[in-house]
Amino acid sequence: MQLAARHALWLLAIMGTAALALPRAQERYGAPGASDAVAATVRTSVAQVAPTAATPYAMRTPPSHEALLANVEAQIRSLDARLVEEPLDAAWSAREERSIHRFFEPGSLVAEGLAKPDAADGVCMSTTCRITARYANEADAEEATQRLAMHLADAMPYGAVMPRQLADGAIEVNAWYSSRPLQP
Amino acid sequence: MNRNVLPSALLAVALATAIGALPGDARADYKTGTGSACVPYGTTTVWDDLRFLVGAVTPRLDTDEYVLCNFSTDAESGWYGASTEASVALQFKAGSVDAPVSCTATAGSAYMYGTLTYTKAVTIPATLSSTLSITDIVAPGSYSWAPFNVVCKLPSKATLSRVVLSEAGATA
Repeated sequence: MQLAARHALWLLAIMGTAALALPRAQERYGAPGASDAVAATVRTSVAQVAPTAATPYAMRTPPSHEALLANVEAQIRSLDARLVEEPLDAAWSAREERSIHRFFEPGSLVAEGLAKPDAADGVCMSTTCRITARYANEADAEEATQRLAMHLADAMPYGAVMPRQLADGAIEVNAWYSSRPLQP
Repeated sequence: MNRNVLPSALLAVALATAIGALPGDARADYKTGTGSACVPYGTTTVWDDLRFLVGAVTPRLDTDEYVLCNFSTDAESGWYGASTEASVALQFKAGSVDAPVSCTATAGSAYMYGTLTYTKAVTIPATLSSTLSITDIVAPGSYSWAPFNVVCKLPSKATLSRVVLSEAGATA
């Protein structure tokens, strides 16, 4: 009798766990309460997601090229608006602009094994600098921004890089480096 | 009824209730990788400049080299804010000289939505190990599935061993 009672109570506990789990399953599979209906819905769901030649796995729709470009432009505007709102700290600005110019000096670029940009300039305010540079290709542009991030890290550990491809195939790098996080 | 049955049963019911109340499949995620999975980065570092060990990478000669470490991410949603951001911890060991290491974590892609970068530098005293951690990483814009990579400057005689990416957001 004691053993039976103990088994009964354990069975109650197990059923309690199932009862708590079932609503989650129902929520996931959209099934009614009946176990047969749940099983049928699960089988249907599995069949729907299982890939076939005609129905490959459903994926989130990737953004269009135009959407990507529009998003980058929006982020450039947002980051520039934030830069414009910063007050000017003349001493900080001068110091960080010198640091940026040192990075882009031809001798420094050669020593670091980096490509020379066609053009490069930077402007700094009080916590953020904005750098614009033009490179012949994406690889040179990317390597430069990675190394520039390390060069500026002591004062400005946060960066945002929004490149534009120009009509002639060159890359215009728009980069912001800041002492504050730069989530646009 | 035996007095020993009731407490056991209550404990069983309590445990069942607790188990049933646990969150579902969505949890934060931690991934451990090693420096031996990193690759040469840029124009100044090539494969011959690096020596790969079991679970680590180090410059082959007395030179500073750059490595690119790639990560797989699991977040069901993008890295947006405090509840869904990420962090990465890189374990370095200095050789017989101090090792000024520097790493830039990049979230996003220049080919989609742009990138956000997070850079940190530490100098590891000779013969010692230390962790370089970059925290509060988010991806640019409303960007789910943003790629994530880390580029590190690996100075002469330094070794990059373990790397751990942690994602605070729900992952499956």
